[in-house]
Amino acid sequence: MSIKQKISIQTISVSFVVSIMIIILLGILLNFTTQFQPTLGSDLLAINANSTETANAVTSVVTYFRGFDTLGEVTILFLSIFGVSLGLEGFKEKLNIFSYQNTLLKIGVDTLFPIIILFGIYVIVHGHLSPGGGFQGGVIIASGFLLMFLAKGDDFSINHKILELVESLSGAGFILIALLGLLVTDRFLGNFIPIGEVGELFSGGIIPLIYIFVGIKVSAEITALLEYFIRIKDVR
Amino acid sequence: MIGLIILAIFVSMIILAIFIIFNRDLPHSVILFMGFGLGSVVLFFLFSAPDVALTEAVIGTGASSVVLLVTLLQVRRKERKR
Amino acid sequence: MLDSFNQTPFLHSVITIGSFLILLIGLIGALSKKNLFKVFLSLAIAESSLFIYFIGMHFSVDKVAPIVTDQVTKFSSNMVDPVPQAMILTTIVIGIAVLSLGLSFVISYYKLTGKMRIDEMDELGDNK
Repeated sequence: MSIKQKISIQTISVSFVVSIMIIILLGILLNFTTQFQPTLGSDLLAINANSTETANAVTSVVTYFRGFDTLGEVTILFLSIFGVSLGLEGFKEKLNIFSYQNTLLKIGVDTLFPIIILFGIYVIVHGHLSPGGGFQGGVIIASGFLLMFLAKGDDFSINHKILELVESLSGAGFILIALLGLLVTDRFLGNFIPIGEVGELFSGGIIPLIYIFVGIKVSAEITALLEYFIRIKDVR
Repeated sequence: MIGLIILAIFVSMIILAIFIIFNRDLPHSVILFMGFGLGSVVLFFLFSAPDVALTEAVIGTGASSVVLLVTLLQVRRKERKR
Repeated sequence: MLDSFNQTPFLHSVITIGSFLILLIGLIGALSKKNLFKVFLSLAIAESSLFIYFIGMHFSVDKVAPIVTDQVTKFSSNMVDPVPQAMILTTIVIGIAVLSLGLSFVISYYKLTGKMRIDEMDELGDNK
């Protein structure tokens, strides 16, 4: 069978045209923003030097200058997990499909699980000082729970009510902090906590608080997602 | 030196992408997809974006591959020929 | 001779051509492959190429990461633009949400009908 039979010439030409259009249009857009100095990014860097006192500029853009977009993003993540749960609820099985009787694996997981959770908490809490933050640390914590699901089998289970409670409380905490900013200062997500010095753990005002809430919410959501995918009945 | 490294990573990523698309065994494709994600992690790190590199390593490569592999437990393993 | 590889315009052209080829391969896979699982894997590849393009076009050799460390003690214009990095960080998280939603649809379709190929779908009537 030649490659010409597998892929039609129409497919290749359509993909070629679409790729050229995307790359050229996006390139024009990106060059348009970098052509005129000063850009938005250098403005934000100049503001960031004396208004938020965080060491990581990406964190302050995500949680402070564009914090409203982060609120929409966690809403999208919640809606997709809701769709997954709606689609897979009918095929759900009581038992975990991974059930090995391996004592060495179970004991090793008991040692490894607290270290993974501790590393995830470290990545979340130090999000404004070093690379990392709520999204990355939340998924690291969820990977620790995935390790427990894979190794322990039916001995380990998480109540879905507790996961939903943690997720909704952390989402409510995000909005509560943003509304407190609206009350105390003059804008949504305003900074009402005194900012410290650059490089210390307690610095940056509300930025570490928001990233901690995002981390809790993301870890609960990804854990629920992996738990849905693991408990489907195997038909093969 | 950084230019040669970026060029080599791009060439290997293109070869990996071709292998991912034209492989008939689906778990092999997922394992090659992990290698593809590792190449993009190194690229993000070289582009002085360590935040995005960490996010891609944890979410784009780790969690996505877990979801893909767990899906393969439920469906047919081989891509059928016609 | 090795110096010419380290110039920023050469690196930008390498990034443009490389991400164009990866996007082309991903789109060909998404359009020509008939397996549902392969379609979503190809879409993930095409998405990843756009991340590389977006970050790479804001990169230059003489700029540093936008993080204050012991060596770089204050924010200045010698740093990479942080706004595209924040946008791509948002987009990667949305990517896994969309991927897992699509894969859950694949599992539901396979459990209900036992089919995995696009050209075998005929629930809404004969499509011949």
